[in-house]
Amino acid sequence: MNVIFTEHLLSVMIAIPFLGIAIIACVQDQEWIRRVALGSTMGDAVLSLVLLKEFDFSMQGMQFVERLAWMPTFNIQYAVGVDGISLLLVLLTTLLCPFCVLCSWNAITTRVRSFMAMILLVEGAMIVVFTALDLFLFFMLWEVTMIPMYFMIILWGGPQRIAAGIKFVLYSLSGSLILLLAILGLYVEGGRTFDILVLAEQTYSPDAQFWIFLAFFLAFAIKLPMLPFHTWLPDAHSEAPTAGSVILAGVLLKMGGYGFLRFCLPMFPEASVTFAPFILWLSVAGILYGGYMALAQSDLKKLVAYSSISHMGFVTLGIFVFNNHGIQGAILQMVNHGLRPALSFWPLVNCMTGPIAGRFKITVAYRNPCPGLWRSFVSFPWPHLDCRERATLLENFWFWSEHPLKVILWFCCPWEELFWLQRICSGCCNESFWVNPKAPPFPN
Amino acid sequence: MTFLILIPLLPLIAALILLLGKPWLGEQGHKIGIPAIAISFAFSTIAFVRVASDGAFSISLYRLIQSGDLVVDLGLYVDQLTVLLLLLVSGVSSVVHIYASRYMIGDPKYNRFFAVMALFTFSMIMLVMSNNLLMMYMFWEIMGICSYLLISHWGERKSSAQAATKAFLVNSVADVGLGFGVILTYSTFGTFDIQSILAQAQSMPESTINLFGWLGLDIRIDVLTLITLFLFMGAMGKSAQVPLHVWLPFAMEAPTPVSALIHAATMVNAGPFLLVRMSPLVILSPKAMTVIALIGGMTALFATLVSLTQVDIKRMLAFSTIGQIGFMVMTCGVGAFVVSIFHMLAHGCLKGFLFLSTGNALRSVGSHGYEPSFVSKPGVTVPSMWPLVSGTVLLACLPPVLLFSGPYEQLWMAQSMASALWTFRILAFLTVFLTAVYVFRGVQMLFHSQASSVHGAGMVTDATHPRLFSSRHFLGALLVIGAMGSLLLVLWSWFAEFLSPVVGHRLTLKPIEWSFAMNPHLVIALLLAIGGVGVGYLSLDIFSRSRFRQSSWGKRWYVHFLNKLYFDELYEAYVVQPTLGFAHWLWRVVDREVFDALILGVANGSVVTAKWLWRVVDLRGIDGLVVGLGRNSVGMAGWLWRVVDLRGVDRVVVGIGKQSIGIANWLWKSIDIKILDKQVSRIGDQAEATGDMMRELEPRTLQHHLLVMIFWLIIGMLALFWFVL
Repeated sequence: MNVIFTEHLLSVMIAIPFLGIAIIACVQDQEWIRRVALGSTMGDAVLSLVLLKEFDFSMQGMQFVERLAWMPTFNIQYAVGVDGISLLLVLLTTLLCPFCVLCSWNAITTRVRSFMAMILLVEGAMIVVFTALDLFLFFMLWEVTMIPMYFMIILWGGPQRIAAGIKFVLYSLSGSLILLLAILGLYVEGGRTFDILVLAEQTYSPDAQFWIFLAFFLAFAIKLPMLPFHTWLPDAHSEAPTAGSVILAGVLLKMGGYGFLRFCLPMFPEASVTFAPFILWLSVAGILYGGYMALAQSDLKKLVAYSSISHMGFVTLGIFVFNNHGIQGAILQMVNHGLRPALSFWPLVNCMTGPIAGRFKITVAYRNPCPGLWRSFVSFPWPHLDCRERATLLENFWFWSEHPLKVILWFCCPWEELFWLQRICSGCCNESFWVNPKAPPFPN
Repeated sequence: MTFLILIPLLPLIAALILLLGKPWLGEQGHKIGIPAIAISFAFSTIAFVRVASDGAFSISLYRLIQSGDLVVDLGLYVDQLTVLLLLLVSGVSSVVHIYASRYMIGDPKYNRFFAVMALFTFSMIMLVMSNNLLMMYMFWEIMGICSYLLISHWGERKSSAQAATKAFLVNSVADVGLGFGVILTYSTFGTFDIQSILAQAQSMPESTINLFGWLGLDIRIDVLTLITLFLFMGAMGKSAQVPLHVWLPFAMEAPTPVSALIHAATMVNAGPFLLVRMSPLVILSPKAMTVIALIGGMTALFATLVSLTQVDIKRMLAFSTIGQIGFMVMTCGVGAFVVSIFHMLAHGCLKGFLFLSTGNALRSVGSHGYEPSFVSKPGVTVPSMWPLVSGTVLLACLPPVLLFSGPYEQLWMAQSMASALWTFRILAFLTVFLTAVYVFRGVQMLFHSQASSVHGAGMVTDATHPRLFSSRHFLGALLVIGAMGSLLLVLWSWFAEFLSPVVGHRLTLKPIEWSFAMNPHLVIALLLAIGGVGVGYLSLDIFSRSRFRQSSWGKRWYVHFLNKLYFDELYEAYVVQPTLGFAHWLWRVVDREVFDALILGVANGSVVTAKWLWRVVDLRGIDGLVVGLGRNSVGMAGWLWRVVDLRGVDRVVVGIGKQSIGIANWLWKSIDIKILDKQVSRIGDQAEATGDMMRELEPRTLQHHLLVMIFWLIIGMLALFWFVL
């Protein structure tokens, strides 16, 4: 691996999806469009593995940093770099996107070119979001991720797609607006620079910390989503095509958690401490609430969405207990959660019948049990990972304080997972599973 | 010793090959599963020999987590307890695999079955071999998943899917306790490593925890008691102890080999194993031990009573397992950990045997094994019942022999007071007797169904279902098991000595007394067991006509126990349905009508506000203002033009022009003509031209300047008025 290539690895990774879009724009054949999309996502995945290999784990701070003046008047630059947190999330992004292309290979038959371009666009934008070292760049690409998602929902979505798309985009936009406010506030307070590394080293007055933290928190809480701001997710999730759901659950939600880790904690430590009890309560409430919501769903994708809300609660919980294990657990949880719903959708695609590819009613599952689904539960180590992070996180939670809800918290964890399992693997629904009825004859 | 990693690794590799190679393998899964488990068994034997000669050793694999002071090293720990469990697990599992290779022929999910079986075995092996609690917890959970997948093997039938869900759910509830236990252990000792935890526990100062501090209460609980109880909660789930036993009878929905594996080797043994593994810690807390013993005893008694009433032999066997595990838990609770393990090994062998032979018998009479009662067809001969009967007798006599024979009698005294001791002893006697009764009754019902009140017809062999294995195989297997059992009995003191490094306190064994057969308790217990066998043999006739059965009191209790004391129904009514109902209510009311409605309200409110702004403020207010201003300006401009400009300025200018001309004329007449005719006539011409230009130019520019000035003056005045005054 020569030095020049290594130096520009991140830019190459960012460029590949956009290059893919350019090629797709020129290709006519649908099959070739899919192949080009797959090729560019796979290329990114391979490069991210190279990144992982070249990454020096013994070093602290940013690596693979590239800087280029962009708008010198406002001190805006194109600056990217990765540290441990970014690396994992970039890996998650690049490894999931080939899956997205693959699972829409046959499912998407109309406007293939635009769909593949959307996937590539969102991939490129997400890589930039996770690697950006410049707030302006971060914000711009944060906004860009929204556009392809919106089109994916309203063009290839389910029957309620327009409403869901509008809800998604309005909600996200209001979050972005608050984010913009926060970024401008930070720009003014932090000495008129957008450089994240410089901004992170400044100290801010308590007042500024309070308000800017609040704005950041609101923006990220909408993205994550945390409890009162979650209603866009089930709609968007259930209406989006499968690839969209995978991207949404797998990576887009992680942008919120990434934001907490990258901005809120290092830049506003005092405000974080001030807000921590409130956020922890909200997280606990969200975990419980999401679990209960998931129990009540009959639409599988909504179930996944609510369980995502529940699981992302663990992320905020881990981040705001303010210790090493908690934060590591939160990062681990983000990656695990990114893999879990995403990979469970994979076999689901095979089972989806009916006119609308994105919608999968559980009653359908009952009539046509999915033979391949059990494999998704065995072939990837979710119980292993899940237990690990659960143990890590809650061990911190135990330390955090003598919290009244911890018992309940533990009790709610298995519920929705279980129902998920039951509904997918065996397809029983809406009937009590507890009292065993008379066994019906075995169908030969 | 590193090659002993292969003990868990081989089943894992087999599982992976079967999972990934499913499309190419055809119905050949057993060809990978059986050798893997069998070789694993061979390695377990090697490990056993090693441990017997050299003592415990450990194999470290890799560092899993390192975050600050939290370091988790994955590693295997092999000691006396581990090797015994390894022998049991891999041995029973390989037998079950061989059995399943024929039992499952024709199953559409043949390879999947073997894959999950191998994974199941792998997770149990890892559970017993793991050297830290976190790893144990992980494999504990993986075992839960595997049990789910196996119980729902015939998931097309709803009852099977429901049974699997139930098993998973109940185990999850229990695992919450286990998780708490693991976390609390970590926060107490600062490590997950079992051996260092046990070493630290010995010298640990008395410490308490205020569990309900957040409620303002001050209830201090001993940490070790709490840890033990939490860990025991996990054990209760996996080992089906009383409040959490409900999943095991339903797990009979699984194919028979799975039941054999669950009951004999894997799942249910995890609980007593955990207690024995943590025994140095457990014995430090007498309170927790009392709870454990009580729950074990209650489970044993309850399960035996229930299994007396069951008519389905597989369900009866399930309750028998619950009872036997209850025995093991009770022995742990009274401090006789070695007995518990011994019982577990013997029970594992026998129960595996019983399940397989029952499956064989049921299959040979044409039932798939999930029919709720014994199906028998007329005209076919009865398979030999003697192996099964002998196995049953062994099972019935096992607990008394174990519980009341010789050296570990003293263990009963280790923890409890005399009264508690007698309670447990009576409990044990009662359970021994009843166990003998129901086990024998079940076998008799299976093979002497003409005596059964359920089915009148004789036992038959279905010609279309050739017997899988002949009785001779079973007889052989039984002989082997019996020989091993008696060997173990003879070598009992060796066994106790062998396990003593593992359990909490070193046994102070008396020298081997061959007179231990004269122990009165043993004699009583054995007599009770034999009496139970006799009662069981006669019970179908006697009980159906007995006064007890006729009395309303007896009937009531019979119905209660037939329905398993309504545990399932109570859970359904008071736990499951309320939870689901609450979830639905929360979703319908709170999520939709509060959160979502709030957001929609904000959105709709914005639109309404926007419309109002447009109609009222924009159209009427700002637009009206601008238009009015424009109109007024135009009007004012018109007025200015008419009044000021035309009348005032224009007239002045025109007047000035006329005056100038008059003056010029006058000048010309009076001065120029007379004095300066030539030059002045030129000046006169220029003046005239200037005057013309003035007249043209002046009104236009002045008019504009004035207009603008006046307009801004007005605005300025208004503003001044507005802001200053």
